[in-house]
Amino acid sequence: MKSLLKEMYILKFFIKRVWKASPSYVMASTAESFLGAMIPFITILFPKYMIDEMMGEKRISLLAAYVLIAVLIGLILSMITSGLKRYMNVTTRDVMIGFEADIGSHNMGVEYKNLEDPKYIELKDRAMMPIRERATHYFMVHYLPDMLKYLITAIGSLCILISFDIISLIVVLIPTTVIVFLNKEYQKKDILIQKENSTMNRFFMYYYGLVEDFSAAKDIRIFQLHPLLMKRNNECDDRIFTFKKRASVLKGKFDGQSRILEAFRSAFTYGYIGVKSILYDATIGSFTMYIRAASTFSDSTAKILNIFIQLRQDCRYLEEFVQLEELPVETGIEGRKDVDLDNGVLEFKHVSFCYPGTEREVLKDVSFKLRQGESLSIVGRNGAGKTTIIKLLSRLFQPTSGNILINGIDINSIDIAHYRDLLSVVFQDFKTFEFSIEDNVTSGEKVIEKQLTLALEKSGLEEKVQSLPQGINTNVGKRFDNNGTEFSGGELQKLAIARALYKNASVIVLDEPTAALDPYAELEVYERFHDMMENHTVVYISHRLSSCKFCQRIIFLEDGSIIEDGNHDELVSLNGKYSEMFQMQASQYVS
Amino acid sequence: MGNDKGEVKESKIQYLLAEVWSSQRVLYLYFLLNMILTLIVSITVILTPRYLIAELTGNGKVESIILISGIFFIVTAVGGYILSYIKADYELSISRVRYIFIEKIKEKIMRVRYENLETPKYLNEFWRVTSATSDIEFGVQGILEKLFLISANGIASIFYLGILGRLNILIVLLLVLNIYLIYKLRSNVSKYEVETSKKASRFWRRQQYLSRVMEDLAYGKDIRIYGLSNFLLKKLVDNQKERKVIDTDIQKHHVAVDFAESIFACVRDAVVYGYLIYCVLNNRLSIADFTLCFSAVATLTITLEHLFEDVAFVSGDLFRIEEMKHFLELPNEEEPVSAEMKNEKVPQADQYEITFEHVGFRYPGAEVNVYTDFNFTIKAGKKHAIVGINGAGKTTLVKLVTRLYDPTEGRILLNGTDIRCFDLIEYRKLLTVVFQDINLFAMSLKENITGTDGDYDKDRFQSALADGDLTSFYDSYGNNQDMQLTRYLYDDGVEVSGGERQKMGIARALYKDGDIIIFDEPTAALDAHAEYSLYHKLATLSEGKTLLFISHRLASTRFCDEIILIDKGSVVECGSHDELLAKGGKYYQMFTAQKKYYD
Repeated sequence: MKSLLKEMYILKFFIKRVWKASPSYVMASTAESFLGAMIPFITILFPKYMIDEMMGEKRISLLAAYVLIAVLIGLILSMITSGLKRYMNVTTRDVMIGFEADIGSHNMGVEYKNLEDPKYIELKDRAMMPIRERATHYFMVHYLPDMLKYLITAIGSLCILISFDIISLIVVLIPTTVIVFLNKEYQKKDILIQKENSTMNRFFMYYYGLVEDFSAAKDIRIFQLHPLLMKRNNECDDRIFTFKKRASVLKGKFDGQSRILEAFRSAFTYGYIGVKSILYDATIGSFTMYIRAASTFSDSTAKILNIFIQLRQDCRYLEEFVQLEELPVETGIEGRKDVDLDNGVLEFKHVSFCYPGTEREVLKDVSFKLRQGESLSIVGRNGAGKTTIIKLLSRLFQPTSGNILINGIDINSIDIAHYRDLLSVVFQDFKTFEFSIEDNVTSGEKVIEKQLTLALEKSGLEEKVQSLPQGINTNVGKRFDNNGTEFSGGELQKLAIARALYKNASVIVLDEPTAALDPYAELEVYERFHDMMENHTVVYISHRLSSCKFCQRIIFLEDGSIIEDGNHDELVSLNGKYSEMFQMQASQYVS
Repeated sequence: MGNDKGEVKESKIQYLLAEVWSSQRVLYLYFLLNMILTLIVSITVILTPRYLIAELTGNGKVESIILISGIFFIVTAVGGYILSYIKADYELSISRVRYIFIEKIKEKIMRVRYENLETPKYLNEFWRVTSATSDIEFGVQGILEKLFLISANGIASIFYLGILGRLNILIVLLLVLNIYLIYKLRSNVSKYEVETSKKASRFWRRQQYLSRVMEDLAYGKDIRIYGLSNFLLKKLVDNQKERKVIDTDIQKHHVAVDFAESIFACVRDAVVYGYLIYCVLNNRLSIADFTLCFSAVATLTITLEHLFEDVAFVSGDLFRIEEMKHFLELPNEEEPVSAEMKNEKVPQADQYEITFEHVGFRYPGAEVNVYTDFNFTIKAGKKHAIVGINGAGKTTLVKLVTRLYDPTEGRILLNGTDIRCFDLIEYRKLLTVVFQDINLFAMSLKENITGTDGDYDKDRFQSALADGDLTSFYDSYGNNQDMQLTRYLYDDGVEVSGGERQKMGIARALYKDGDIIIFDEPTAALDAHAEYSLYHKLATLSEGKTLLFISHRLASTRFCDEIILIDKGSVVECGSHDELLAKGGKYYQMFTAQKKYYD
């Protein structure tokens, strides 16, 4: 019972989503169900009258009338239902896109820490499997109207049967009930098989990813990795098939048993109605009608049952999906909106941090202040914790202990969308989109010409934009537009910088911005730095220490702690780690 | 539908069936059994009411009713049970066939000529290849399952047609004509749909892209920082609006055919029922046979409809098989380029020299050459640094040397022989390459480094780790060579940092130990210490070997014997570091630019 309630909950979840996405789909499909349900009755009812008349009075005018009415009703019903079905074909996509929008919106709204949490990633992969692999939600959307149709047909034929007698009803219902119980057993066993093999799905998705993602292609060729990869892949497929075989054998058995019961039901119906018709001298027309009604009734109940089974199964497959979708989103959490972010002092106060699910302290008791308009450089070896500081500052994660404050207010208490107005970040692994240059730079915000031009100028992208015939409307990348243009790594970086500048946030963070740039482009960034960064607070991460010289302040991180803090000259004279690192890099250039 | 098209269509089905024959032969047996049993069950189902009514209008014996019902039960129960078993198993087998094709596609992706994977045409069109196997409703699985349905419906239709034909051949002709006309109309609309779908495909791809971007964890940071959520959602919705216009147009065409179908059916039914009643009234047909023919017409109509729908579906879906077949028939990269250029043995030498001779190169589909009349020699046993600003063609050089691409003009020689003449795999054994972006696979550390799960050189593995500066990393994980890299498959796998990843790429290359070493921008993610020690290591490791080092960090080139500066597809400056500085040309300018902030 409990599981039935859960499944009803899941079903309600989906029905709500479908209605939200396209009410017209729901209305059209309901109408189609009602009208389509009537069609079978044409061949149940009319033959009775035709046969009885042919065995009786044989009036031609009446017979002609029966034929005409039957075909005309058939015509009207089929034309209307066709139109509705075609309309449903179009609106089904609206529903599917509605689902995509909900899924996307949720993904983009959950707390970021989930995206780097293996447990969440695994839940997401499992949850999305029925959606992406089997389009379970697509089928669900179609099952419900079908079920309604069969329900109406079943009720109609039931009424006809009852006018014969109750026993015929019971004769039909008993095998049906047995099938229901059989099905319950089948479901239980099937679920067990699915559970045992859910890890296989993960493997399958990984190897399937090899199909879709070409980036490993060079390495695979140079190192001749395909034999090993194919071997692994084939092992995975074999394991999957062992499980599929078990599920298939189970299904075959269940289906077979159902068919025997259905055969019994039909045979018994024929026997019972046949014998009773002889004994009670029923007309041939009525006999035909009752047989038809019985068969329509058992057909539709069988279909209803199948859909019911399938729906329950689908609900179970989709349980994790619903679980996923109901995880809270960031924007749902209340927060202050009254904090002035532009003239502030940012402060890390005794911040320590471990990534969720790990024990290694990536940051240990880090404390520093950042004043408005300051430029700060964070340096250190790879793995020292530099990017982690940025992620904490961007509120992608929360400190494990300690606080981050702005003007003394804990940033966690601020509404997250409002807080994020504070920052523009260009991450090391930044992503841009295959949209127009304008879309990428403005991030879909209202386009302010002056601001856009300024951002393009300051990031050094203006020249490229002017060289393109479509200017800022040119697509980045050729995937969707043959007139689009491919951007080199360096140009993409400029694009990301332009995006950061356009946002006009008071704090700008650049994480390894010149790693992919050639010397000229790198120099360009340095030269423009002051221009770019005036009126902003800047945090600059790089292991190219040449960049530290134009920052007012440098923090040297090692193993998660700040060990040196000052400006370039101060740190050089300290003769400590910073000085050592700087000399090492510089020595490569100086003879 | 001329003969030509018929032949091409057949070869696609033949292609599928050939695979079925070779890997899942049992499907042929199931196919036959399914057809025969469905026929037997259908015959029983349609004849039983006729005999019952005959009995009711005739002798009226209760025993006969019970007998007829009993026979009905036995045939449908046994037949139904066996059919269920067959269905479960054939669906499994068909699924297996689909997986086999997926495996073939995966392998082909790994072995096909690299140029196929980078062209925009391929990136855009590749979904068509995978659409043959990505769905259970369409492509391989969809088509094969439909074939079962088609055969069962087909043979049942023949039977029903036979029943009606015995009465009057004209009825049969009328029905068949009706269905055929509708089928023609339908296929015209399908053709139209395929044409229009080509236009719709870009909406489909855009929706796929948007869905992927919204779901991809890698985009998560930027989406949150820049508040891109609503923007992306709006694009999704707007995209659907545009697509809906096309969809509606297609469905309107379909609806027109639907209406034609309904009207034909109406006329046909009126004629048939009128005729049947006439026959009864003139004692040419008993009531029992009347009901039989009546059922036959109804059942036949539905069966024929399904039949034609399924045939049309298969016909329309074959394009996926075509795309897949075309892809799978592409030559593997190790196939010789031409009949003249093959079967040279890779020379066994102490050192190797590579010469570019009047090489011209243009990416497929590009408008501009990357190289034109490019000439230079990578001297045996010497260290070369290739520098130039981004986009100058440095990485393309690597791709040409490694034969990921072949030159469009001119040739590349190894110790005097055109490299296209060698066996590709033997040639690549000479090469050790570290690319800019390192890919690690969900396998153990050992497997990622050595590329095999079988026998490997233990000493070389250890020294590769040491030389790749991974000793402390390896130590911290207990010197466990079977440790899993990446967390794709195992929760306790290790996600490595950018720097460690680059080191692993280097270790992998070192293990391969080729005689020609190529490093492409390898230190971008390394910090100062690691970068510094790497340059020194490279210098020692490449002693006596030919080294090609590509970087825009000019300081790293100082340990090389010769520096080559490439600009706009040609060599502009060439010489040692000191020589080029003395020249005061482009190299000198680039060097000064990088040095500026270190002074």
